Amino acid sequence: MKYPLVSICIAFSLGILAGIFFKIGFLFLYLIAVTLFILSIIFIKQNLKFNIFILCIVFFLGAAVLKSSQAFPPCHISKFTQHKSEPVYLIGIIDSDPVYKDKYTSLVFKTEELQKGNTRKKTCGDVLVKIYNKDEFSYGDRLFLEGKLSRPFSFSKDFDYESYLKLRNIYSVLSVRARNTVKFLDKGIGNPIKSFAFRMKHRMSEVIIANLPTFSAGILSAIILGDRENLPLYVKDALVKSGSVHIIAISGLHVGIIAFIILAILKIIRIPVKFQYITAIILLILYCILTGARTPVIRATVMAVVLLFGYFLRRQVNIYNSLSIAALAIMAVNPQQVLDVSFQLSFLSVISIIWLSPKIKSLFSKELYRIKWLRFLILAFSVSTAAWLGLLPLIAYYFKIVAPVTILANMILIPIMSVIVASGFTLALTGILIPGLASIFAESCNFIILTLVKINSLLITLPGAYFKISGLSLAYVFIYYAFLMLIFNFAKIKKMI
Amino acid sequence: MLNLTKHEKYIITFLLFIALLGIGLRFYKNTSNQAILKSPIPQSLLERPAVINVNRASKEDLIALKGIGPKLASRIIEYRKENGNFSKKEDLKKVRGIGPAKFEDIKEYIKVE
Repeated sequence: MKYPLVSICIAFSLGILAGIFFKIGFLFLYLIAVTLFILSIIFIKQNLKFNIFILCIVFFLGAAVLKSSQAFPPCHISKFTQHKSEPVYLIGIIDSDPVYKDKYTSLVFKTEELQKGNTRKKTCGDVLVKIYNKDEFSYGDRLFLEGKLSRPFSFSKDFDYESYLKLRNIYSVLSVRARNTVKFLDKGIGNPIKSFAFRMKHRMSEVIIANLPTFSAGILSAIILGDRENLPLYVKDALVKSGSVHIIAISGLHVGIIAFIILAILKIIRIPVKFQYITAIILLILYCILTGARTPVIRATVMAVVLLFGYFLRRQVNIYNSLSIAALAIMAVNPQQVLDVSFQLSFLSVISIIWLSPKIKSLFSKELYRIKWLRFLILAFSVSTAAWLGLLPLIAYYFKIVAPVTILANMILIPIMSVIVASGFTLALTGILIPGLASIFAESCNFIILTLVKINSLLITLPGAYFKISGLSLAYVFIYYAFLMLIFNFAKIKKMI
Repeated sequence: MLNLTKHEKYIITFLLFIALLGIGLRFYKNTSNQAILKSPIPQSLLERPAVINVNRASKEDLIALKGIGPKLASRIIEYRKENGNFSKKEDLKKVRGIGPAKFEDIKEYIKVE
């Protein structure tokens, strides 16, 4: 098999799913994995048996990793958190870039000590803190907080807030009101690389806000910095309806464009080729941290790093193997990501494009490829249709919407979004290095953003652009994918029969 | 099935060994590590700040004031060393980092003696 990592990745993810749905203890899974490991060493020279044992080990390892991630140490803050809120004192370090909302600041707090009543304990684990005062907080601040600690609860039936936070390893929330005590014990004691990345993000954000109108600044911040706080809600809603909301989720296309810009700049300033790749890898990792290290950008960054490393080592890189490495890396750190809609959509979109787009392209006559603009149009149509076909049932299942206009929307909006990413980055970097020139880039950037919003709003007014559905059963999702594989592999299956 | 070369088999076997060992150790650590009980948090952190004399306050006393962090507390003490004691509360605004807004927040909790 050309893609050994794909089998390993599938076995690992199936193991995680088995661990989620079946109540089996960690020790049992671990002992089976160890037994299989011993057997694999015994049969290392017999290829078939060895391969089977390896895949079985990886399966049980996936389940064991999941069980291990669910076993919290006795110091974990979730063990001291009740469903009903209760007053506590917490000492810890800010472990995220604080988000300033209208009435409160939201941040992830890595706890160190807890006092409840007269009992003081050393603690570990993260808490989501909402602080209702106007102080300025930064990543790496050590704080003393007085507030009310509780388990998260969901306000609405449509959105499971508790599960959403669980996927981010957060099991407790702390509410700190204006009258409660907040004291700064120390500053700047976080990871220096993360600290640098967040400072860069703030600097770029300041440039964007200073040079663009509020409306465009909110959209550009979402597209290039992953900051959706100031994104107008109706713009997000319109993008959901046109099936193009992924353009404001930093993912493969954004990372690809940024990698291209970085390599182009490094080439112009005559950096040796190998150093170009290493520099690009470092900057992409910084960009991943800067944008909040969400699943789609981690996936894209890992794939880009593997690709660049392949170029550095002059080895051929296989896209399926690099996709599998990205998936394994994410699942090994947080196995429950398998259930995250963002994880599923991110990987499925890439798989759909890689697998389906060549098959759709092959449906067109070879004569059409002679004309350059037609060739480009067919490529755009194939990629857009492949992504739409691949994600259609999942989007219907999770968001209860079907948007046929997505194919046309992506063909038009993706190129415009690419120009926005490139010009937005140019604006941000120019604003930092040569502030006087920023306003020139700001004008063109603003124009392109407004054009994108206008075109999107026109697309959703087309007849049959989108329609909402009441819901879709998971069984239909599986049937759809089985049907899709049958249609696009029909010739192969016919040959086998 | 996986079509692995001899070296790839050894590498995968080694990686799986490390992964199994690591998971086992992590699970053992998670289930056996005990939270340590300490004495209660110092009273100075728990109490609301009393009125403090900025000419005699230590760094910890100054940190207890709302909006004053470790760096700003150090700057106040340095200003005191270089320029002598503050003669009135408003002199605090001469310290870099204490503007009108911050002064308003702390003026009820400070005195000058």
